[in-house]
Amino acid sequence: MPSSPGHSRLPRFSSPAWAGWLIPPGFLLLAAFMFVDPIGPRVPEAEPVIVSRHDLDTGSRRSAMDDPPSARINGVAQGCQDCHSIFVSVDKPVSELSMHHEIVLSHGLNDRCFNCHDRNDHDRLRLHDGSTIPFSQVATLCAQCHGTAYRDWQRGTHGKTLGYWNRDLGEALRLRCTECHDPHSPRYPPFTPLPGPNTLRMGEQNPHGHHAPGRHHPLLRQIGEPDPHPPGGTP
Amino acid sequence: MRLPILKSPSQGNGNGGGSCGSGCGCASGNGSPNPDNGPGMSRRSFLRTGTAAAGGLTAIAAALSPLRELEREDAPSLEQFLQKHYKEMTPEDMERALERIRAQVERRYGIRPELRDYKPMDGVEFVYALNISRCIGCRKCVHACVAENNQSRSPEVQYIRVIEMPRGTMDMEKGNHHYDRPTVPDEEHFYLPVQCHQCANPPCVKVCPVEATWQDADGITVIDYDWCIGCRYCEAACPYWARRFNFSKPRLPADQVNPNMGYLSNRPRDKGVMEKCHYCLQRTRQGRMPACLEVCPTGARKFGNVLDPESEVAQILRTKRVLVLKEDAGTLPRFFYYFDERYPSGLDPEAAEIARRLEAEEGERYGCLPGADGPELRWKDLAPPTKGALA
Repeated sequence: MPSSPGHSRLPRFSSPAWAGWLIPPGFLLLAAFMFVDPIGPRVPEAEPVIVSRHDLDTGSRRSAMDDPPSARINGVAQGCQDCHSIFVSVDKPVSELSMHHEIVLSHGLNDRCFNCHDRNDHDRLRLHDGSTIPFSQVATLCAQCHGTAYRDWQRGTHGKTLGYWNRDLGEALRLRCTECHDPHSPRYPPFTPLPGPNTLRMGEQNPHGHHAPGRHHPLLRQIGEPDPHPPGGTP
Repeated sequence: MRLPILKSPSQGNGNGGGSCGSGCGCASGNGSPNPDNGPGMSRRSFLRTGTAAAGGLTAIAAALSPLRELEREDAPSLEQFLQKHYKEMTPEDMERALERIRAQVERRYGIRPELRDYKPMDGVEFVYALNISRCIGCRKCVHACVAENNQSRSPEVQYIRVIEMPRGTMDMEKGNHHYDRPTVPDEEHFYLPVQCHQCANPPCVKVCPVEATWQDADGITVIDYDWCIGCRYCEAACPYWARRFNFSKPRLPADQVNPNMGYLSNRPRDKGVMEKCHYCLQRTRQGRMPACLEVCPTGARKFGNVLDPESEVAQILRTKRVLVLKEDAGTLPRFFYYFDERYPSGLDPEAAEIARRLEAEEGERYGCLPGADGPELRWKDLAPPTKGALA
């Protein structure tokens, strides 16, 4: 027990003898402080991040065109042939069309409507050999150019599969090309990422400081050293 | 919780009733060396012993004082205290434990959970595959996992970390999981989500001193939260930083509780226990897909039974280039990263040029449009971005 007063009376010290009597009350005070614990446990906690259920939607990213297809003209759903049985469509780039301005065509060199759509029957799609397929078989059309993606999709190694992994317990739902990709501009648009982790005990995170020095290594930042590997700085 | 032990300092040295604390000359006793003082003890030794005893008792009280924080609800019941190890429980024992947990969840969150003890299925070994050419780093998987598995919202517990890595390297030191961009993906980076790899040779299981974590027959390493003592050895042993510890009481809003719970998976945890990804076993042992897979907007995540040769993951292992993280650790993960053969554009000018030339040649032959997927490229046709990138 360190609070024994006899231990504090060491001959080397010239302090008055009563000073040793301060040690036990000191320990008592410390013990009392620890017991009362006026500070309380301090675990760093941040306000919880609320992510809306909309952001965690598990369905397909977009809804594919119905079969037979339709478009909203002046707010009314119209079948393609409703208009195109009357109006002859022109073979021009989208920018020069008088209708369908809402379509953003950004599909590489594939910038003509009738590369994919059938000129005569607008309810169907056209393959390179001149035969036509319904909209529901769009994968066959895409496969003409995107062979490796089509092969992977058939195997299940490209694209999203919902439902059940176990065919005995439930159905697997393989999404088709146009349920994820917009056929007119197939590249995914940039996403806004959901909030990042709020790592405990790593200090305050700088929300915009991806390029701030030392952010990458919290310990280095604490001692004021520059970061030898700034993120994003590698060629 | 007030401890009666506290009263002892004021009661003096415990030298029998009637002895006052100030060492006055009470009735002389038998054989006292100093006739001025009390029976059997000098004034000095009384003070010394009394102070030491008081200090010691206060120190013990201080050490026990965290018990005051323990709420009645959190104190383990006798039944929980006497519960057997998971593998020694009879079905009746398990049903009693499940009923106890159901009642506890109902008291805490006001909803009756669908709690079951999901057992591994025969002939199933789960494998996860993640396409790093497709992952865009949107972190939807992270938050879908939190919503599914009843993790603490504050302090934050997340099973998945999405690491943003500079292109051309697999050096984890260069990764950053705090990235905060207005939009992803960034052209100069790729994204590497990391969660529990459900290793076939799991170091975390080996170090557990109480066998609170083990590998089930379908390959999922599970934790019994009632058996874990919170020593955090497993956290230190995991080379993938996959295990999470509940440093303080998990906070889970009642309106965000997922009532579909498994005993070994997403039932609410207590302070002081370890948790980690379990491939959503409350879903996957019923044939469903994990939550992180369902929410992925790019289809980069693939899950299934590797023992079924027609499953997507078996196809990937057969036909794709796959890699595991920290292969040299010898952990034999059941979590594989793979990539599409097509070389990502803008990565390496030389390789991109080869890809363009091959595509143009093949496209001419087959009548394909240049710029589309074109022919299958073999990895060895292309110069690796840096030496040992995939070593």
